[in-house]
Amino acid sequence: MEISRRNFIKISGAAAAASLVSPKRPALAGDPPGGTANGFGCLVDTTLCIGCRLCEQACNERNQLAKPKVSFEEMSVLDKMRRMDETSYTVVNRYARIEEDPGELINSPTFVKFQCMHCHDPACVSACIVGALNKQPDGPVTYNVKKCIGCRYCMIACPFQVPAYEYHKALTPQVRKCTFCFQEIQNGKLPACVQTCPREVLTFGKRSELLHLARWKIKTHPGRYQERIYGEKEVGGTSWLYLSALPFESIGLPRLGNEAPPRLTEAIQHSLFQYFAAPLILFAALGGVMGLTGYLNKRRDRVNPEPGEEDRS
Amino acid sequence: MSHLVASAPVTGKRFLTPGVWVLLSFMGVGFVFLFLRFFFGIGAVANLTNQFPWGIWIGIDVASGVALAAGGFTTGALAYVFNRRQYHAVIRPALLTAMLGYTFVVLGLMVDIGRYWNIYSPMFNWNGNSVLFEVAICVMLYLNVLYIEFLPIVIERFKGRVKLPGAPAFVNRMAEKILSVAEGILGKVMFVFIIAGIVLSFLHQSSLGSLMLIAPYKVHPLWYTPILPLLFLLSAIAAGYPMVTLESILVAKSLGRRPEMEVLTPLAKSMPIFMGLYLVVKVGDMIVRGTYRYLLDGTTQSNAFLVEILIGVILPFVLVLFKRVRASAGWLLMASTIFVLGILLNRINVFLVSYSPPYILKAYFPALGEIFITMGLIATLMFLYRVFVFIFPVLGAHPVKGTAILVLVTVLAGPFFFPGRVFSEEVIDYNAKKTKKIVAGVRPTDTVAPKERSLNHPMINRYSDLFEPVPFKHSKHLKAIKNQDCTICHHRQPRDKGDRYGEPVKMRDLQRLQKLPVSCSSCHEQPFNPKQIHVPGLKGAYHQLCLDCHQKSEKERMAGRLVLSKDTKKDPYISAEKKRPLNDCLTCHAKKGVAAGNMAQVEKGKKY
Repeated sequence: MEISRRNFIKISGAAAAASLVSPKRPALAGDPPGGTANGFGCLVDTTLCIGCRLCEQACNERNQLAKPKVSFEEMSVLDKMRRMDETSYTVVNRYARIEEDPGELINSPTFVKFQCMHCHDPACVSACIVGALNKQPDGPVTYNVKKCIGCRYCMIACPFQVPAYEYHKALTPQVRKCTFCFQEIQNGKLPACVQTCPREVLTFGKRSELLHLARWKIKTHPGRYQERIYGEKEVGGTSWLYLSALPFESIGLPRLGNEAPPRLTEAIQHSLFQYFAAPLILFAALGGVMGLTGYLNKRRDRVNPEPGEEDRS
Repeated sequence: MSHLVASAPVTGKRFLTPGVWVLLSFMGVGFVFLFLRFFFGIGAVANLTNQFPWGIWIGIDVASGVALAAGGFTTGALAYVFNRRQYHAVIRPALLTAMLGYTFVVLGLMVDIGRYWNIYSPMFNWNGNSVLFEVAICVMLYLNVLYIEFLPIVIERFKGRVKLPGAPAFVNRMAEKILSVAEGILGKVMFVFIIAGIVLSFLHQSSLGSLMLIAPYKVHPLWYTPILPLLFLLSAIAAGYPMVTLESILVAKSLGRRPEMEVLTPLAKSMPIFMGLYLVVKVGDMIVRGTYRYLLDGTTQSNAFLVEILIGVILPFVLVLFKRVRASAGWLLMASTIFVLGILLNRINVFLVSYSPPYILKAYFPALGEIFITMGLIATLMFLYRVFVFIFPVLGAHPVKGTAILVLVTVLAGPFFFPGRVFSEEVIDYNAKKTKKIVAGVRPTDTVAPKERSLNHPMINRYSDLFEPVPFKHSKHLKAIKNQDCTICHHRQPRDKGDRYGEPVKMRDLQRLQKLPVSCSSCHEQPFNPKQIHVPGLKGAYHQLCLDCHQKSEKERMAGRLVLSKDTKKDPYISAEKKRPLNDCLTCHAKKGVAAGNMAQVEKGKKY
């Protein structure tokens, strides 16, 4: 391998130029995560939910999902913990009251509706290799199947374990998750679950107003709620918010920190690729070492040529 | 490529040995499962679920595959960047392993990803925030770099031997000419690719570690550390020479040759340095983060971590410290194998063992299909290695024909067009508000209250219309409620138009003011009114009030006794269902469409 210095500089310069236009964009500093200050949200008041499963049915019908084996009127399905899957974007689970408390709903279990939380700074969106998942400015996290390659990294990333996958489709499996009925809410309509909820467990509106409402509820019903709004700060805030009489951990809402997971990974990635400095420096350093050792070798060979070693280039 | 110790295709050996037949049978079984996977979906052969979306196809085929192909860039760095010519003997086998290894990483990925025909999508749809995107682009580029690095070996094989049967002499001469020109160009630019290969390896080997950093609440703290990318890089570098050693000795044994200890022993000298560096950083990280307190938990995870670090790292590290170990083919093989398996375990640990999602319905264990496909891929890789060394001067490629065709077909398969779903529904008219006037001049008593009402309103049907309305008997309720207190339901009275909160209703005040309680719909008509978002809509208000009260009445005496939910079933069509709980809609409602007897079919709204 012979490298003249001039040659090396020429070629490494070309490589550097090529790498500058290559796909990796340098850090988009100050990229607002989500930009959803005024986005829509939904407040789930779990103290009101009676587990009628109408939201599941409405969601299933509006999204034209496969009909479940057991009818939506069958309440015994609540005996088991369920999670969202390709036939359901939302499920209601029942959590038995651990300690009796002298509220209005004595000894009655708590029902909790689960669906995509539509995070402000969604891990799935940051993780998606092709940008098939997007946070819309008005709140929903949407999925574009045309870009998707089916790597399921979004499912790894989601702290709420929401996205589900169609494992039994051979050619066109999709990631399935709650869409927040984004087309409807853009046109001033309601998400299917909210629209159908008989007790208005779900309140739809601007997230900022929902936070007000939640605080108002906590204030005007002392003792009824935990004095915390789940989703206000969790993983950077979520569009869906929860109120509960019981500690959130005991009704299936995971204990999460306030930092959004993408902040760490994006910080690492972007500092590594800022102006392509790190890769280019490494490239240049390796090139330098290569040139230097090659030169030293050659000099040594001239001083005492090794027998049998011949340069065939 | 220069400075190469003469390499030649393997000759004078039987190609098909019993070992090769074993490989072929594994490939056969793997192929059957592969067929099932591609024709019936991932779910047909794998235990992957919504809780565990990644299994051994990612943990072993991809993550471990990349780590164990690190021999390519580590020996490349040693032989070319540091110009240690004595190591050229191992560079070609290491290069072949890396090339085949990465090819199989991509094949493993094709098996794992659901829309494999869309695998080119990352080339057009960039997400610079995604770690996986960076890994994918780097692996793609590196794979091409590896193919380019392998080209000189192919040229060497055919140069001076072009004798196309039946072709005129000038064609052969031209082919020769092309080969020698190609060799010349490649020789001049190869160093760019060699360095690029190392840089790309650094990038994606480390980023593979960053992959799991996106899931801080799922990965066990023993492994979850912000320096996971550094650990991945260090472990990949440390795994490079053991992998080359392992492979070299195994191949020598398989072909009945003498292991090249004169190269491998000096190579092994650097092993303790890299292993030690990895060990120090890993243990140091554990101490800094204080995660050592999980070590003796006795859980699967803590045990896996102990095995990984005690047997997988410390044991081989100690072994290669001994000169005798480094000098003996058997011992060196053992130490290298243990370390390689340790790194394999590390990758499996990070991607699978450490991963515990918040909701587990079923634990993950790889299905037979996953195992056989993985084994089939590994067997194919080993088989192809043998094919290559028999054909090319590696000790040396079909330009992986099958692979090329597969990739070509998938690229040509093109994007399928999936029309998005179109929802159609009538627009909700938020302005359809109709307030009732407060009727004044009447003294409100229980006799004035309507006897029976249908709890219905056009607004309710606007949202959903799954059930018949509930007949509500005013008189019955009045009798049941203590002190005939209307305020339980008619709880607030709006003072002015647009009043947000209303004043609390007291029957005494109503009588003094000669006012009737306001109907529910005057405040509660419209749900989610941004101006009064705390006021539920009519349907929500009815359900909240009725259900709350009835839940209470099952536990407290009202009207002198408990009012149970079955008492509410007065409609003949509903009372057939005896044992419905309160949260069942059919406790109070008749289903829409069922002939509802004497219940008025109020407002037939549109079927939702």
